[in-house]
Amino acid sequence: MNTLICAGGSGQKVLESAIHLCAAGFGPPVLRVLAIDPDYSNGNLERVQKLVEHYVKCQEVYREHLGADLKWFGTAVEVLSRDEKGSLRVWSPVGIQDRLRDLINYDNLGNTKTPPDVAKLLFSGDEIDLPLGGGFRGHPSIGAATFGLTFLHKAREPWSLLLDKMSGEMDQPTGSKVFLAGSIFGGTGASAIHPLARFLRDQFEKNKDRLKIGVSALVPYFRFSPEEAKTGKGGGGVSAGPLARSDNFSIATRAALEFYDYLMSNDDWPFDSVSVVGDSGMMDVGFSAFGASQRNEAHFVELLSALCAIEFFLHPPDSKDKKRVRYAGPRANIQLGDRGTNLLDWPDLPLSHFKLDELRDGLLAFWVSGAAHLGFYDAVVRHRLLDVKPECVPWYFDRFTRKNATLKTEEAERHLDLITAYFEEHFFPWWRQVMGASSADVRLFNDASLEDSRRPGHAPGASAPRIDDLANLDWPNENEKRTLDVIDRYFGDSVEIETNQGGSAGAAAYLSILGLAAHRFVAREYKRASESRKES
Amino acid sequence: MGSLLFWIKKTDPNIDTVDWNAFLDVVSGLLVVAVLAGLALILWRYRVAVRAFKIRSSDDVFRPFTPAWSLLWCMAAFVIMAAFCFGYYEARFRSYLGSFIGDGLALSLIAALLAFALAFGAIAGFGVFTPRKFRYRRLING
Repeated sequence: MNTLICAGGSGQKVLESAIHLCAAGFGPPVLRVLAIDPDYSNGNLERVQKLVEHYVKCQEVYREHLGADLKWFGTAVEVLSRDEKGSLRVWSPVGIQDRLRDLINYDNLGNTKTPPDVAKLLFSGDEIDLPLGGGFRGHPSIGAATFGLTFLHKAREPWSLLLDKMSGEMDQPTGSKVFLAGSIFGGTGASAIHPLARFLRDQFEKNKDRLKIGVSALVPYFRFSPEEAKTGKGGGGVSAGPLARSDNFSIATRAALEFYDYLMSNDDWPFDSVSVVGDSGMMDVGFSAFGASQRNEAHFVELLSALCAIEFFLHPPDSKDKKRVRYAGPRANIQLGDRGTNLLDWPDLPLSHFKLDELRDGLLAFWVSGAAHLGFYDAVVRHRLLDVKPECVPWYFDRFTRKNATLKTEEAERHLDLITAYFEEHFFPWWRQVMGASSADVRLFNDASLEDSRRPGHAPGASAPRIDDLANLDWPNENEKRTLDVIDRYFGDSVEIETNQGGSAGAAAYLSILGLAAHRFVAREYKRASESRKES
Repeated sequence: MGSLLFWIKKTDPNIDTVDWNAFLDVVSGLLVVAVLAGLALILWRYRVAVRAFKIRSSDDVFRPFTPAWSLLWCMAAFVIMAAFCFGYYEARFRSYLGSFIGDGLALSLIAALLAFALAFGAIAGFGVFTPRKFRYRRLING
């Protein structure tokens, strides 16, 4: 069984990427997720919470209902910490009002064997009195002290729940896999990774080798202005205190890596796989100390990190690779991208098990389906004439009309709304941010095809590819491929799907038609691009 | 091959039987040619109509599709057959009494009907001519 633990703002964004990969059918069969962040109102977290909530609804409708050939929404996501509504709730080792002073019982240290001067040596006065409800503000020393106390929480959810499930899995030969994702240049992620890995290792006496722990350590890939940091913008007017400074990121990263090197050389290495991912291009983000205003755009580094996590779950490393640290950076033998920045193309993805063509074509098919749904088929299946002239849509005639079924029920329309909202409000806006990262020239898909949604009544911020770009969704943009005739070709593909393929009823039957047609469409329309890519 | 047209009697008893049979051989050959020409024309026009019907929006999916008029091109077989029958008869048996109008019209009609029936079968029965996206559409008012 697989558990993804995401710590801090960057960790939440890795979770966001992982969920999108699961939606596209690349995830493991089951994925437990735990979000950790002392900054409860973090804007990054809010976005992920909405995504997870939406994904879980989609999985209930579509998972295992799309036929054998399609695994979209195929990962059963289990949320370990959830609120009353069942939504993802963040876990924190500290309360909103807690200060380090309270956690280490600073005022009473004099009555113990530990002199208060030791605490003074390790922490500044600002750090000792910092309210921790807004996170550790880029100070991993504070966070490490609190995460080191995780054992105090092991009898309470979500840890009791997780440890209970894990102990059952440790009796099985397949064991339990845990992947920790977070930055090592900030506060929460940097301070959580090692204490949590150590904590988990210490919980099991029997079959210890069956616990596999993977890590994705994000190294700096964004920065904010030191001037903005000084003014302390964001955070809802909470006292400034010590703030994260991006000019300290490199120093913090170096210190963290030296610490990991120390662990490795002293045989105190609790990890089975470590991937270090970053981007020297450095995306500029607006400064926000914490809170809802800390809402950074998605970045391809988080996508790479999520790929590492998924590969870890699907292909756990051998014990002989235990001390192998993988890292990914830009290729050295290529020109810089168009913007004079790092270039990210498909061959740059640090894949160890996924086949690049399968990943690319699978994601492309998901893109094509989303684009076709938003730009064409959603309007077809909601058309007033659908049940009057069902013979005009042969797959609908076969799968619905012949069985006296329809997609015009309240339930089916609600299910259709789910995929509309998923693609339009989550998937494509996320890709738009990944592709638009100013710090790199991302050449995965065609960012010129993504634009604000044109669908009537769409939500703010909704995004969708141009429907006439259905055969022009991969990089680079080619204007001659931009034509509305692609709709006809895609429609032709959708009617070629045999009735024994895909889902058999309801919105799942519809989504499976979209997907199977998209795979045919990609195999034909993108074949040339794929072959020329192989040649190069 | 002329025996296919055994039911067509000599228009004048004085016409030499060998000549008449040779005439019927040519006419029956042309009947086949006219039917095939009519069939080809119908299928070509049908294919053009099908290819011209592009779906570019949701409304296009439900737009009426009326390729049945292509079948009217069977009249080409009628015209070809009629023109040849009368021209060839006149050229060959001008000096004899009798008329080939009735039989010529019947042969022309047969050519048109055969072209129509074969084309209808091809359109309705084979995916080569009718893409699967139209397979459940009615030929008229589909």
